[in-house]
Amino acid sequence: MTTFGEELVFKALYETFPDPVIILDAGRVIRSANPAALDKFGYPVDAFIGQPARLIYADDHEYARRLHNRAAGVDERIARTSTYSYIRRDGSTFSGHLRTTPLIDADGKELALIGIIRDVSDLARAVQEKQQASDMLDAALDAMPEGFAIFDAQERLLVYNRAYVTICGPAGPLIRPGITAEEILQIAQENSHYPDALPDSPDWPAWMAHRMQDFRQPDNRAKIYRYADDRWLRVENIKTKDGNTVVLRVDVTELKRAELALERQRQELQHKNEALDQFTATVSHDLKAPLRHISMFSEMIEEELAAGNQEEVAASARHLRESARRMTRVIDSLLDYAQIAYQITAWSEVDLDDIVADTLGVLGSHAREADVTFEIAPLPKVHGDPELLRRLVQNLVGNAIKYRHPHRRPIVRVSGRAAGQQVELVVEDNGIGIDPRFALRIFEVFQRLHQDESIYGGTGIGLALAKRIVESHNGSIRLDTGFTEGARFVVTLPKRMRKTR
Amino acid sequence: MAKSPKRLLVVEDDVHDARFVTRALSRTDDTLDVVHVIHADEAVLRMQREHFDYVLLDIKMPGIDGMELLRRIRSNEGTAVVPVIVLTSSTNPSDVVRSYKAGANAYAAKPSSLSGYRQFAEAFVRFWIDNTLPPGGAMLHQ
Repeated sequence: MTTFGEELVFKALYETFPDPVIILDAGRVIRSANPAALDKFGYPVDAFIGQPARLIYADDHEYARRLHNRAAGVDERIARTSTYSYIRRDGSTFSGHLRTTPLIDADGKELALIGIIRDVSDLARAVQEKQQASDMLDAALDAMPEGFAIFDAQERLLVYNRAYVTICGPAGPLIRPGITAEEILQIAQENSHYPDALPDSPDWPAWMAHRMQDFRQPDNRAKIYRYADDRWLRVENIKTKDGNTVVLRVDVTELKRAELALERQRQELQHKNEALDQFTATVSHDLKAPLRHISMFSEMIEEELAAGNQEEVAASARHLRESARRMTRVIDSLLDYAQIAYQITAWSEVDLDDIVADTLGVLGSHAREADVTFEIAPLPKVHGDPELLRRLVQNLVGNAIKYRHPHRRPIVRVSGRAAGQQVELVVEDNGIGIDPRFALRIFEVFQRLHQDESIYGGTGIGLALAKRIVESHNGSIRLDTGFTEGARFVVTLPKRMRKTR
Repeated sequence: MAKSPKRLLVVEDDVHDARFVTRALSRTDDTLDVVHVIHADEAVLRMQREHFDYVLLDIKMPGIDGMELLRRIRSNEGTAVVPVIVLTSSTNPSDVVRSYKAGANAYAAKPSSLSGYRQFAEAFVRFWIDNTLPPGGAMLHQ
């Protein structure tokens, strides 16, 4: 059969092929173009045939790229590696996926190149738009201060942002898609990222189990966990319908710190209120007693006078005067105590050595009388009010002398050391000591452990005053109940005063 | 049968107050045997060794306070039913409640006049000495 000419078939195919087909000669000149090509590029035949191939490329760069790709022999089957920007006669451009087939003669010489260009503008635009949207989303996720990640149903990491990497701490550098939630948790735990589940703590397995439980079956309630560097994070895990798990990590450290500060303040306030209650009760008791005695003795004098009992009158009068004096002392002590009232204004670097030397000078005659041996170790410097610290040391050393043992030669030791950000001052004696049961009560106002004021005189304000001075320096004072030779007081003061009060 | 003298333990750290109350009580009933101690620890020791029919107790004392002593008296089998009268300077209602809760039989504020002490002593003798049945149901006056 010759009526079915192959040439005719090929010609028909060429004429009706929907995509532009262009044939170049070895000199890259357009030798033939099908109607689709002419139509696509908008040229009449004579303005197209005979033109160099450069004509259809949008610019020199695109053409150079095409030449380079041809020389390199890129895979033209893939749109991504063989798509160029083409230009129509009217100047408009479109993206075209170019596939070429060379025509080779018997000697292997290239005679011509058949090129088919498929318009992929719509596709390219879609891909580009998708890429843009994805980039935008990534940028937004990375800009988020909250840690965000998605795990698939097999608990493998799919998506995550920069904050999430930071939050994972020591596991951060290992974060990549595919790592499982449990692996991340384990790496962070082993590297001490969780203060509540440190590697040497016996609690960590339970803590980890709890965290994994909350990841696997989240109860949709956010939880707050402590992280390294004193950070607090709100952890929220959300299961999605498709089986993925979305995890959110929000740094709530500031909030948590504020909450803790508030709680501390509340406790402090409660403590102060209780102290105030105790203070008023004691003060009223200690002021009422001498008042009552004054009233009693004056009445007794009256009665004794009527009975002509002269000797009794003198005794009662003496008691009356004593009661009045006692009341004066109580009021003076109170004023003393009230004046400290956190009125510290004269902050300076204070050498505790100087303070102790001053104190020994002031208490000198008293100490000689009692035949006290002082053992004073070198003392550190501290930031504080020199006048108040002098009174503190005077009180403690004075007490050590006052409560000496009747049958022992009194020894008073003062020592101190700097420990980190704190300074410790220790005053100890070999005196009568203090019952450990009263280790706390002795610091309350007007608490006396000894009835007989003639042996151990005083109103019972000394240690309360000492405590108040120490507290005004943000420090603490305690009785070392483990020390049995006598009494040992340990004062802890911050080396530097915090500016915020 | 002769009336055996009743023994009263006064626990009071303030020597003046102790003297006032002792004086008023002896003037009201000279058969009363009043023992004064100034420290709660001393009271515990005395009560272990001796018999007392009544205890007069101050709350606010150095060392162990009256409230603590009262709890000890009540938790000790030998002294659990001894009448304890709290005599203190505090008129704070919470101290009154705490005293009764700890097992006080009566509560009185320290008087500030001679007549006040006289009234307290008379009330004490009339109510407690004349009316108390010793444990076991034996009559006081035979």
